[in-house]
Amino acid sequence: MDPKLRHLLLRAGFGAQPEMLDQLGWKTPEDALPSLLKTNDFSISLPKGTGSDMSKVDKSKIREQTAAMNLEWLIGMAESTSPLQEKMCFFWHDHFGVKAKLPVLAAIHNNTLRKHALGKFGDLLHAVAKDPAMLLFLNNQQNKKSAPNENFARELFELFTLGEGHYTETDIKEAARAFTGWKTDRQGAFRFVRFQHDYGSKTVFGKRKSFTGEEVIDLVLQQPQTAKFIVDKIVNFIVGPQLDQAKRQALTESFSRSDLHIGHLLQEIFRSDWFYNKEHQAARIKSPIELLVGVCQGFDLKSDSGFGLLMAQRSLGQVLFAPPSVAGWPSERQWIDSSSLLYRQNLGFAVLLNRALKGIEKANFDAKVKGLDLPKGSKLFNGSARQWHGLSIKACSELLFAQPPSEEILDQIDRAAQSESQPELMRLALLLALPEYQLC
Amino acid sequence: MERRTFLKRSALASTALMIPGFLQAQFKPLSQLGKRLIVIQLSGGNDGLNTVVPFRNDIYYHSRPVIGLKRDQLNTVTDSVGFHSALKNMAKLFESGDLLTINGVGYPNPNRSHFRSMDIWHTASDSDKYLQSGWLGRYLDHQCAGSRQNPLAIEIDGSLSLALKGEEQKALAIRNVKQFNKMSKSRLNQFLLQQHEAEHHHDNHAYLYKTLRETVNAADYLESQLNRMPRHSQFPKTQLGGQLKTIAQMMSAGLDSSVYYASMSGFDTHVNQQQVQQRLLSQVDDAVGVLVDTLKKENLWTDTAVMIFSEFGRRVAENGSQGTDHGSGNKVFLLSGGLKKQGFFNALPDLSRLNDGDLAMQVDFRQIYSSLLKDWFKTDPSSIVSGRFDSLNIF
Repeated sequence: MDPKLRHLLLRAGFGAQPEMLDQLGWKTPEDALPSLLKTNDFSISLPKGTGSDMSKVDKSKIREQTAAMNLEWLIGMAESTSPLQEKMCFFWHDHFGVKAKLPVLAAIHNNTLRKHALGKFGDLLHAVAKDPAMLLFLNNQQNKKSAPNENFARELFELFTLGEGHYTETDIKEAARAFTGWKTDRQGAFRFVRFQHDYGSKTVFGKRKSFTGEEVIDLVLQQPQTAKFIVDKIVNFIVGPQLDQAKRQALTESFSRSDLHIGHLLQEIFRSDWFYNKEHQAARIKSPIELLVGVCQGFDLKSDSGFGLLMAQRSLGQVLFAPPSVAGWPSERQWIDSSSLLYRQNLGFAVLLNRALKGIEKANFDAKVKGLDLPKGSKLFNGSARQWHGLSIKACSELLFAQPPSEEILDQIDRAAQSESQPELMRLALLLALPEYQLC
Repeated sequence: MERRTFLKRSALASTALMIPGFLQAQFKPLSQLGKRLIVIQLSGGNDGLNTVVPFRNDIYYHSRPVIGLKRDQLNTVTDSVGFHSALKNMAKLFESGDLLTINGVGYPNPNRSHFRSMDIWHTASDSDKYLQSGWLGRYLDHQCAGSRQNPLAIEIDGSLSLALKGEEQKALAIRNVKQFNKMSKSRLNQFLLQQHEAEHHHDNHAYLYKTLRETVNAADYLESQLNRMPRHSQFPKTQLGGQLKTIAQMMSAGLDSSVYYASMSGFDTHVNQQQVQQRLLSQVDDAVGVLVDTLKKENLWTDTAVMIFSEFGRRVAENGSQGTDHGSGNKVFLLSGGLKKQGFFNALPDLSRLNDGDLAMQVDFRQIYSSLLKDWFKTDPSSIVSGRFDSLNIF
């Protein structure tokens, strides 16, 4: 398989598997790119019956729906015909870091992210700012003329657009006044409450005017630093932190020219020659979600109980719809320590050979997967290696790895697997246990 | 890193290589291995006000007409304060000068989310800052733990807490020594490490193999100590009992790890707090009691400090479900045979001066961290805990 295509599929999606390549007939990045850049209309179905009325929440139902939504998205990523859209939706989920208390609001927020994932950043930001989950998450519900709440304005500048050091405390205070009266009603729709809005003039980034919230967002979108900040973050995710400044600079310039069009930026990266340089291949460590989606794709985990997939997210420290804070998840090396590496190594044995997979015992208040019980005697995972049947170890490794391991290692694995009762499954499980499988 | 610590550690490491295990104990009495810290995390927000109770305070009973604990239910430790009835051993340790209670511990602009507040405690950040590494992890970074063979910090769990993840160094999370050895020293991993002296394609590739090597080394080290680990069968058969038992076994065997981490959950007592807290605090007290006894017998107690904390306290007023909701300001217990200050570090929180129904902060938790780093581990806290937090002068 063309190493360039493999690299593209890992970064613009969650990797390659036999069936996908057979069906699509892709041989080179050029074959794949047009489909990858298309969006589709997948969305998370809106959970019913737990409404947005905070006073009437049924906790067990919320847990049940949250688990169902989690799996719907995880499997949705694995099966998507627009994996880049899902990957960027996941990126924005991390970028905005919203954790919604009510499943229906989490679903609406997620669908907003997906709708604009490859569109213009400005459209995304405007939509997210009025999203009920965001308004509640960063306390804009409490932001009134009589008592401004700065939480949203602060994170808008610090985490969503400019980064620390590119605004003043006065900018935050003044901008917060522009968002007074932005609220959500009990049905989860945006509502502008006139009598709570501060119509006075505000000074933001040295400009004085009676700014509305929309105008403050437009103002921050025009700051050159916003384009730079977003390009840097997308580049680190899609290419890796090693990309040099000159290329980042060039990308930032064209990103600004395109009116901050995310899809155009990604297209420029994927159509460049440098993206396929060796230094960028196999340079990133997969986050737990990237790892699990790849395993779901390759080993048909769509129809199992989901229990194993939820436990694995918790054990590895990344649960969809539950980012740890508005700052999102930590960077890639923080995912790997002795215990998480061993857990990742054992994942394939659990998926393919039904071996035990012991993860957290942590006493975390959230450790138990509530609302979802593994029926007695049923398997943690219900994986299948159907797609890999009859492939040589070399062919498997070219699909599984960003950078396939040496022939010597493959030979050794092949020999070791031969002596087992299920050699084909054992061979795949051993491949998944190689540290190289953690790279993308 | 400080030169003295480094010399001490490398000297130890080299002796360990040359002298067979059974002789080592004679060469290095356990007590010379240096200071130890055991952290016990109570997840969910333990209600500090019903843990250490001001039984002469009318506001307390007025705020908690149903769940307020009566004097005759408590283990009185002073003429106005009693420990929860479950804390029998800890009340004794208070009497014997092995325990210090620090009241009103918190941080400015407290956060009431379990996750976020726990992260703040783990990373030692301000409540509006987000750090990716933990305070004990940064202590490992500072000690150049990478130059060592053996894990400097061990968490008894299946996954590693943020507190123990440094920028470069990570502690070891282990649930069970035998199981861990079996998993990490698989034939595949042994083979890979023999193979893999070669060049690494990328930093992250090298990082994965470095982690794998450290994991297998740690397994080797633990295995070599296994036969020296006493059974310590007296520990209660609870989750925390099991964790503290493993820690005591490791310490008795003379492991040169200096930080140990255990945790238990369930303290989020919104409903029926009395029964739940009684059960949980009994588990804490039973396990801690045996731990202290064991370490005293092993002559390790004067060099061991135990810190018991929770991510936040609970509101002063009870709610309508015989429980309490998330609050701020809480107790931290420090237990050690090497305390300079014992009993109460400071006055109990003033229930007549609440912040919006919550206890006021009297001590920033990072002052406790600073004390542990500076006065206990003799390390400069400035690169580990950012901001200026004066040590409490308790060790």
